Amino acid sequence: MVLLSVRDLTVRFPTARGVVEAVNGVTFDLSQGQTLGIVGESGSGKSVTAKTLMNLLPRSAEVTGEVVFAGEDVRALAAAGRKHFWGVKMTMVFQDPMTSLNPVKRCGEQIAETLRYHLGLDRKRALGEATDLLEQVGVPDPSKRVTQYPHELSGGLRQRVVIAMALACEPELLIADEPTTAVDVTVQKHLLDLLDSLRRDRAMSMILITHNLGVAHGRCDEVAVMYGGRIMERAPAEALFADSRHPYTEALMRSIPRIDQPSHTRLDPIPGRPPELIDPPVRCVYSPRCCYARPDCLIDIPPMGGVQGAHTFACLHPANTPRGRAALAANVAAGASPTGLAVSADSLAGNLLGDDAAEVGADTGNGDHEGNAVAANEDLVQGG
Amino acid sequence: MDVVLVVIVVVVVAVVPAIGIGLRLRESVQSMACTGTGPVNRWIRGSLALIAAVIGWLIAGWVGLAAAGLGTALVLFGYWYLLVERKEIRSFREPRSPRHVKPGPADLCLRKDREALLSVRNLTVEFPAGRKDVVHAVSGVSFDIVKGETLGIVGESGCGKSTVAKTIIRLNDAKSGVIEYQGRDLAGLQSEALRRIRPNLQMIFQDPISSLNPRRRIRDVISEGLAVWADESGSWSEDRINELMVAVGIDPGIGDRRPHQFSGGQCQRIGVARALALDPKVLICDEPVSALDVSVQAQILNLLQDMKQRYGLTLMFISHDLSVVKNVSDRIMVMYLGKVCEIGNANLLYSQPRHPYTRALLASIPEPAPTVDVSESDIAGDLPSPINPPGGCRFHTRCGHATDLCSTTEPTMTRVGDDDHHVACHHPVEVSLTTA
Repeated sequence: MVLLSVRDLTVRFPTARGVVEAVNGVTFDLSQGQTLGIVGESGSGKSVTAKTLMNLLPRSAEVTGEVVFAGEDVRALAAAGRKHFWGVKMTMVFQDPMTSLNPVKRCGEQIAETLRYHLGLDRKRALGEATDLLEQVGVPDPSKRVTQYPHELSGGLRQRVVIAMALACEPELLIADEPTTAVDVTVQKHLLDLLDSLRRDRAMSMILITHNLGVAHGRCDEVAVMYGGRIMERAPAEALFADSRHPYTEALMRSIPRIDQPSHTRLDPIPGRPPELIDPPVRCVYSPRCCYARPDCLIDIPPMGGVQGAHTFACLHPANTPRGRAALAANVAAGASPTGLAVSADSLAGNLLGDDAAEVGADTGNGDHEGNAVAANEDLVQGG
Repeated sequence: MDVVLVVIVVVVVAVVPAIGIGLRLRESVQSMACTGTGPVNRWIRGSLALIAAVIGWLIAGWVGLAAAGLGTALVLFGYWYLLVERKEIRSFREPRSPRHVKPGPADLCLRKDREALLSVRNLTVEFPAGRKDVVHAVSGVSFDIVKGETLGIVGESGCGKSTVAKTIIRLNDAKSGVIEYQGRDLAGLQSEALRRIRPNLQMIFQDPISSLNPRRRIRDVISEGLAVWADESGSWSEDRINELMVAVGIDPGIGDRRPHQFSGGQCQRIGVARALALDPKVLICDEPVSALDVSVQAQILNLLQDMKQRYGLTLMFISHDLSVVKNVSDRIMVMYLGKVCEIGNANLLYSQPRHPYTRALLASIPEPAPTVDVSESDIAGDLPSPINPPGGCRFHTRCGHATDLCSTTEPTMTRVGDDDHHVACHHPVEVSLTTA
């Protein structure tokens, strides 16, 4: 059963320098009890998407599109319905637990506040309930912790208090926006385990926003990769990591150091810089950094292709397909992609190209490398 | 210089008022003696005046002496307090008093094969916390870095990895221990000697944007070190700055921009260029990629690798990300609560982790490490306070293998296996060597 359905969500912020198109045409479905991972770099629009769902955007934001939660349009809720929608049915856990807790209120009161406002409990019962909640999220000695202030707790415990607050009204959907970025790896594991078990016990759905591909891999049923405000690829976690189709997803996975590689393994960074979101040209947003880009990528924004409902991607020349290999071979032969990015057989590891394409690439020299500081740097370093 | 200072203070505080008191006393006795009239009293008056004068001088002398003594004692006490207790002023003539170096175990030399460029022995750093407490940030850390090597340091926040780095370039002072760089102890160096050695050790910081002065042009930021040292090494040229900027991948044509006009990754490149300007031998990178996105992170890691080869650097790389550390390092040191748990070859440490804490760290990586089975490892509870760290092995409160021995006796670094793999644990986990 589909719990949350987002259709063509677009968020624009008017600024002094122009309109920032932070989120553009985001579409996804989330079934009950499932975890959707949203992966992307900073500026990719993943947090803005979450804030749009939670209705936390500033008034200046222009939002279009449809957000349907359990059959009702969230953006058209009446005032009475709004009051007990966010914080009850849909809740959120933020990145930094120190700034999302009130430093001058005791932890117990902050949890109880939610219960008193939404469920109308009296003070004493709400505090008792808060103690139970803290116990459920694995806070040791909860009756002592309810009387403590946030600064008296460690980062991991603070985040547990925030999770307890989010769970207080038994939500159907929990949005966790980088919940473990501010904590150590050992604490991260404990928090993710906790979120996993809570989600299973309560048959809750979850949107897990992260920049860590490892977290998305292990903890999500489905993963959406965002770049420049758009969803680039969306697939079940296993399929996405085993057989990625979008060149950006592939490049992202090749650029992170992996623990199973020996030390000093050369990484393949993504050349160039993240896209400018003010007045972006009408073309594939990743094309300036993409070694698969062909002239047809620059004509229009590529539509979502692939198998609907299973593995979709917005790319005309998907990686690991004959079409993608042909595009790559053509760029290697030309020495550069149509956007001026230098593409040579040396700069790509051989396994990206099929055998036939590698042969095409082998007898062409390096093309001109103008206009790309990073590529120029690579060459300079190799020469020097 | 110090003696002159003491004498001047003693004179001003004690002797001058003492002389004043003596003179006034003599005057009053004299005037008292002079009140009588007539010839009979002349001899009496004269002798009274003489006696009064003598008594006055005597009293003044004693008072003066006492005041002088008191003043001297006060000055000496204040001087001792500031110098020894608070360490706020330092003697001009001699370097600091000889440092207390704890005798370490005989086999403390961790690298026998090659001569170390930088070797740290029993480094201890403490910070005051409140009136009496001290934070035991680093307690008895020893390691070597040989020339051209990259040493990675991993650990959770608060384990002292950044403090070690800052103490090496003397941004903090060590409480005790030796930091030997090319045969000189950096920990004892002062003022000019320290200034002269510092260009050899440079540092790159975590937050690339806040570590650059927002009001200066990046060309000036990069050239500042050269400008300071221009009188030593002759003049510096714009070519050198341009070369550095090209080397780190920044177009020299945009050198007149200010840091806010650059992205985080570019600012980190500028930070690298600044660190390389003085041709350092050792580059200390304190979480250089933690604030960057993954695609930019790879660019900076590759850049550091290239710069290391191009300029023959020795690197110390600090990070909390185990995959990143493995990628850049030759050797890796795992720290926990101010102590070294395990140190060894990067590939070996990840394929045959012996210390329970190393295994727990590896087990908590979201993407499981296929090279080794660490599924049994998990650590419970929170990091103990560094103000009052647990006795014995500092990890025993959270360790699944801990015994009574661990809570009473501190384990020493012992060599396990080959290739300079050392572990500080009473019960190192046995690994089957066939997996290597």
